[in-house]
Amino acid sequence: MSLVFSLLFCACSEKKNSSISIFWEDDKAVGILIPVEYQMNAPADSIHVLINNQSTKNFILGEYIKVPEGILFKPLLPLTYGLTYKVLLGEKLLGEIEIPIPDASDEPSIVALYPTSDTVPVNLLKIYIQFSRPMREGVSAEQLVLIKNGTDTVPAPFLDLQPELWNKERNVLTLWLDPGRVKRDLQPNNKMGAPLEEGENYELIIKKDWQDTRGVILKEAYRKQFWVGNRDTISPDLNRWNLELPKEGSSEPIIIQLHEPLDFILMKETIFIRDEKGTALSVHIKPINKESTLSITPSAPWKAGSYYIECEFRLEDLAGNNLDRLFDRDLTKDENKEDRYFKRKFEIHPASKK
Amino acid sequence: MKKLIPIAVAFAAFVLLVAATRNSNPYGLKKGNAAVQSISAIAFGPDGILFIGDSKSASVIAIDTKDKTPVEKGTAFEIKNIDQKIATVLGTEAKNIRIQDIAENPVSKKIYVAVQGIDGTPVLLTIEGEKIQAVNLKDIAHSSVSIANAPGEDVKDRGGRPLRDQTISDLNFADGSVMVSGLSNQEFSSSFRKIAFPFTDNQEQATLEIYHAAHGRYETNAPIRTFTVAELNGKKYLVASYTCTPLVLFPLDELKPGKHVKGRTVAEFGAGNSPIDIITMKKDGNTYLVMSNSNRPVMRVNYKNIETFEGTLTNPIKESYGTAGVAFTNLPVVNVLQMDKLDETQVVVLQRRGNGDLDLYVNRADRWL
Repeated sequence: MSLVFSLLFCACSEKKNSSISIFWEDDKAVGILIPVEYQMNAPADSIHVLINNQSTKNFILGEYIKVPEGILFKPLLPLTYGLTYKVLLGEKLLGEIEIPIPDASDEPSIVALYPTSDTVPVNLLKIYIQFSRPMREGVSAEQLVLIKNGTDTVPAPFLDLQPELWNKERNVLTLWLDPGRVKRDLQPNNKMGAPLEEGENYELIIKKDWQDTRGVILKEAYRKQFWVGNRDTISPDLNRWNLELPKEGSSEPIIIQLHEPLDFILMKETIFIRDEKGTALSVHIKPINKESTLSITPSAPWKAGSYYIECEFRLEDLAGNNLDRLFDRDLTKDENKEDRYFKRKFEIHPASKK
Repeated sequence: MKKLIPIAVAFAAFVLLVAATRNSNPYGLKKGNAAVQSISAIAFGPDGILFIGDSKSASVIAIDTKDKTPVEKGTAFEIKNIDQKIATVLGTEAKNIRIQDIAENPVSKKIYVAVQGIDGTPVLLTIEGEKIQAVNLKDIAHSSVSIANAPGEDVKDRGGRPLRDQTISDLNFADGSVMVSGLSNQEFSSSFRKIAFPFTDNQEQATLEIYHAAHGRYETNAPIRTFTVAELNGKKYLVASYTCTPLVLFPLDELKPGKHVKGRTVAEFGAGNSPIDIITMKKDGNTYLVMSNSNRPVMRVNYKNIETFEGTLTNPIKESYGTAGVAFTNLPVVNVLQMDKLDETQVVVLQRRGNGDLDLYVNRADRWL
């Protein structure tokens, strides 16, 4: 926890040795410190904080904590950048303090957008946007525009989910192309058509106005162009993957050619390398070549022996087809295997063996 | 005898003490910091116990609000620009907060509002008339249960990798259990779990995968957006609605751990829409399901129509944005973002008005039934 007292200005006429200051935690203004000399022995509950320009006395909810330096007011939410707050003792104005807008040199930006490929199947199910900082939630529908062939705006291509699907760090947003429209024969698909059309060009634009959790907007707008290809109606198959295996003693990665891009996040979470006893090896999984190749690097040199690639059924391709079933499964034709894990054995050969 | 009397008194005192301890804490709650990291959904259980669905910590937290003075009828109110009023007491502006959920304490009829700040900080507030107060979650009797493992997933050696993120989409208390529907931000799946309350250390959770078959052919593994529990023909059902608004029934007694349960689609309320909240209201011997939606008005369905609807929908809808199955009525109320039952005759509504204002008010239910 970093503790910084930021001195700003004080609107009181009396001469004080220290000023009312902001209490920071990381880059959040989590409190206001009112020095001892301001209190004039008044009880802590006679001090109140409110937003400047408030006509009524809407005191901000929070805790008033006695600390050696004075009274620390900790509101329920961090104080807002750019707003000015008033500190009152009873009716008397003790001071005003502004929360400075953060230095704009570290504006948020788009780190990556998955899938990275510039060709996607017509039944593409989801897109991940990775930001450099935690972002404001609940505004994706306003900040994203999908344009077809440079002219037409696609209406509501993404599923309107409230709350939106953010990761814990709030820097990766999952967007689903409206699944009702992707699935064959469901009413939205029949009537509105799939969100994407085969053989057409699209551009996804992320507007510059998107704010991070501090209220700072993106450094620049982001544009991703892609072309829509065939419908993907085949589940990923572990047994069809091509494996390039290193030898014993090497710390080189296993390279797996997947023959199609798979889901970037799921690949890193659902694939395991296990030894013969079933113990998971500590490995670094890196999707490369536009998510159509996997590089699996061990943390220790390979030992000769038998191993398994184990993959959870929920690993999906770009169309949401997982190892167990197609996203768009015809009950009259397809068999649901209901396996939870898929395995494939491989050998790491001794270094001397050709 | 003289010796026996103090022993008897001590024993009686001990019995009373144990009884008192049990009575004051029948749910195994411990006082302290409830460590709530986010609030996705809230719902009341028995005796003023509030369940908090915390997606960030992947847990359900039960807190004792100690708010259990019975009130028979809730007081009607209207708070205009509720978002601005809440933002002001939180020291910020309306654009920097989000009202995640509202719940009404069925005992005290007090309204609880879960709010999230722009940085994700969760806040739990109560609203009484115009008075907005905070619930101190740092010093409160509570217990929690983890929902970190995905439905059907074995606790396996994962080579140091974390479990997936789950977002809680809805939470209800019924049949002595907390029921939680979840949404993954990775795969398009449906997860639903039924967790007995009080929570225990070795919690047995029913984790289910729930499917509904569209038109009897294409199986839909979609996340439940909102649900309720209702009694139909003397049997308890989970009544769930999904994105694109099918209404699907699941017999509650079939929801057992590890089971693949297929629901019965009884209605399609139209595409291009997400259901938000479902409540059950009664009038003149009829029970109604009332559902608010993202892109449709509030809808009302008579449970009698659901009871008499046999089978499951099989024919694709012909008309654009058309509907099928159980008959329903569109109510003249739109943009209802949150809704909860205040008592048998009133509903609490959070509504975005035509002029853009966000208002919280109590509506007489007979206007809707």
